[in-house]
Amino acid sequence: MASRSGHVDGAHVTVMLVVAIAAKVFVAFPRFLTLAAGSAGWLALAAGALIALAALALGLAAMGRFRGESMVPVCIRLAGPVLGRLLTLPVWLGFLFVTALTARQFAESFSTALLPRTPVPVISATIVVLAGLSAAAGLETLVRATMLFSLVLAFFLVALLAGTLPLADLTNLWPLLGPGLGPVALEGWKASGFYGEFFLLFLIVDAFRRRSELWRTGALAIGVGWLILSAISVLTVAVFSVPGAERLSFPIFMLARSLNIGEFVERVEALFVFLWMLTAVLKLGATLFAAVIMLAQYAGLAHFRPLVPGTGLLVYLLAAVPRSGGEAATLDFRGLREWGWTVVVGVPLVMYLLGLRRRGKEQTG
Amino acid sequence: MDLKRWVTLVICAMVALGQPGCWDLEEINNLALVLALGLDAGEGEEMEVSFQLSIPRNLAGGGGPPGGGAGQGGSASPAQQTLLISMGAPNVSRALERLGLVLSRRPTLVQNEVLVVGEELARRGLARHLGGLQRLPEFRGNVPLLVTKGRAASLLQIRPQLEPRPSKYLEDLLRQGHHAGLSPLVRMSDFLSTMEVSAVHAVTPLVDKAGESQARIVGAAAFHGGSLVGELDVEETRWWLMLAGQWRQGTLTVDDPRDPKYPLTLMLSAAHPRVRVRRREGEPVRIEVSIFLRAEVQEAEAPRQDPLGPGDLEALARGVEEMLNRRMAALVRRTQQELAADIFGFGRRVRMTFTVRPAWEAFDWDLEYPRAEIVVRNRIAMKWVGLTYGPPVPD
Repeated sequence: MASRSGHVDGAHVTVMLVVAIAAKVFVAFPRFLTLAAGSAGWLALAAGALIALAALALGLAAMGRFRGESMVPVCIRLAGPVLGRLLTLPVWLGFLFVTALTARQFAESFSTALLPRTPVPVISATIVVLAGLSAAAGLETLVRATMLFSLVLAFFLVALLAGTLPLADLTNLWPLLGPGLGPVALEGWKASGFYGEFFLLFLIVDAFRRRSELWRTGALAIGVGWLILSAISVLTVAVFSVPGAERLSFPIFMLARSLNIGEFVERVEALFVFLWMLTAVLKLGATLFAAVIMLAQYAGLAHFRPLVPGTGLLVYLLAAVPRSGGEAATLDFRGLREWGWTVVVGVPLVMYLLGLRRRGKEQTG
Repeated sequence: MDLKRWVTLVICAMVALGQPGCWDLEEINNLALVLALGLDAGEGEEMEVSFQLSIPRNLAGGGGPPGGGAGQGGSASPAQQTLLISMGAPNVSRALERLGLVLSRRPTLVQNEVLVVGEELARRGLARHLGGLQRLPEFRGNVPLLVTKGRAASLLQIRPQLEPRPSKYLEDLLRQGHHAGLSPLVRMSDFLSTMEVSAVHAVTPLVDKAGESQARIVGAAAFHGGSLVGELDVEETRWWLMLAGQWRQGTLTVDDPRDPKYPLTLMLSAAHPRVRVRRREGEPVRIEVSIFLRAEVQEAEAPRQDPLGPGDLEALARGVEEMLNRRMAALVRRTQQELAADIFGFGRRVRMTFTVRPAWEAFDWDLEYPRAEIVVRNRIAMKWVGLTYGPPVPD
């Protein structure tokens, strides 16, 4: 599965996208999902994944005619230099705000649960600096590092699932349709925003050797991402019940705290700190990288690295804007993700329609 | 080395040196470990919070015989391994704050082994207090929770002989009681989750002080909406364990169905209650509970000339089944009529007959439970007669 220089392997990118999509389970995601869809959160997530897959297919179809070109140049070709950039601007803003709000939430979670006296800005700065270093290292390093650490992440996640399963009461998942089919369908539509990280794929198409790998990579990332998001959300509801899950700020930390294997294995949440930090850095590295290369593509720069410190600083400052961790989580899951579907569905759809229009014009011409 | 590498190296060094906890560094010598937390009703809205603290010097073996110290204000002799301090406070955080006024170390709940709640406070309601406790990052939700008859502070004063500290003794007593089929084992987080769900009501172990050195499991405490509403005795607790699917293995001594003058002890294992629900509009819910138990004769004293044969075992099983059906039905009736609390979690199965939450919430299981028709059927499979076919018969 080795990649030639300058190219990345589809499987490695899949793992990076899965980490970027699924990292939200480490913060307040299960809480907000349960608040929105009750015990049927996993169904809403499934519907969201299907919509995200459709958006992925539309985007890839629109970009299909421009071999080796990434989303920004393609949009510029389709809609012109100004409209093309404007069309992708929500995606850039999305990556920027997701990076900032996620950094703040991770910093707050570390502070609340582990380092109560360490100032949040210090933790936040550490995370952003590490994410900046990962992003500056480039795509190849980023995907290989994610691939390497994904084994550790997978091991801990499986251990967490297996360890807390005996505490789960699966009847908490009933009534299966939660608040009802209508609300779940609506939440499903909105939940497509939870998979928005797949746009990273549109930005690195030139790093793939075979075009056919793009769909497989994106679809697999959304599928596995759904599986992880659903598994943790279902487990949270099964262990803590719907009202309990709605109250928890960091459900996965609470799950880790519940782990108890007899009297022998107790207080193992300290082990999960590594998992937590790794996930934060890998996810933020990926989303910061996406924001930076989009900036470089807007400016037509051949090198993105000079933009990393500035974008990192912007992320750090934006992360400091919410007055509290709770506000950061609400902005992320009630603000950004509430309307994220408009970007996830809207941008690929507009790209596709513009592509059709252009093809029509070419045929007429 | 070029500039880029130097910069990277400096950043890595800064992160590595700055992050491990300059702010959060805390020497273990500066911590006062709370081993058990007791909550009692205080004056007005206040609680009386009792902290059982370890005296590390004596726990390490340097002290005298094991024992618990008790007192207000923190007096303890060098021989004591624990120190009990009680104080009135509106919540645990405030009590910890006040504890800091008298201790030379920072009190911490990270090593807390058991949470004891006094009966009166349990009757007043635990939702507020335990919900607040769950927020404390240092407090672990998976500590065992028990309700004591009388006051928690009093129970924490026992001086166990077998264990080095009362908290360990109480924790092990609950575990052992659960393994033996005598008591539920409830973690605080389980209690809170159960309390929040409308399909089931919470149960905790009920423990009483039995002299200066012992505590005794006296059954289980039944809750409704976070408040203690009734007690189950030890026998009822066993039926509860079987009906709630929490029975693993344990002995059961009953009158020998073949000759009620003599006791018969069975080793019963792994109850798997199967709950069937029939819900029709305008009719009470009908619930059929089938419990499957595997049994082995552990001790039988009824004198018989013939050894126990397969037919005898069948008859014995049917007799015990009938007895279990009767007693379990009586307990279910009591929970319906007296407690009005579904402590078995039958509501979970009823909830599965609904597809959407608003319909389930409108159904109001609390109102329906006392009206429900509940039938309990036990099925016992006799595994073996035990180590002998029958007791010795004097010549």
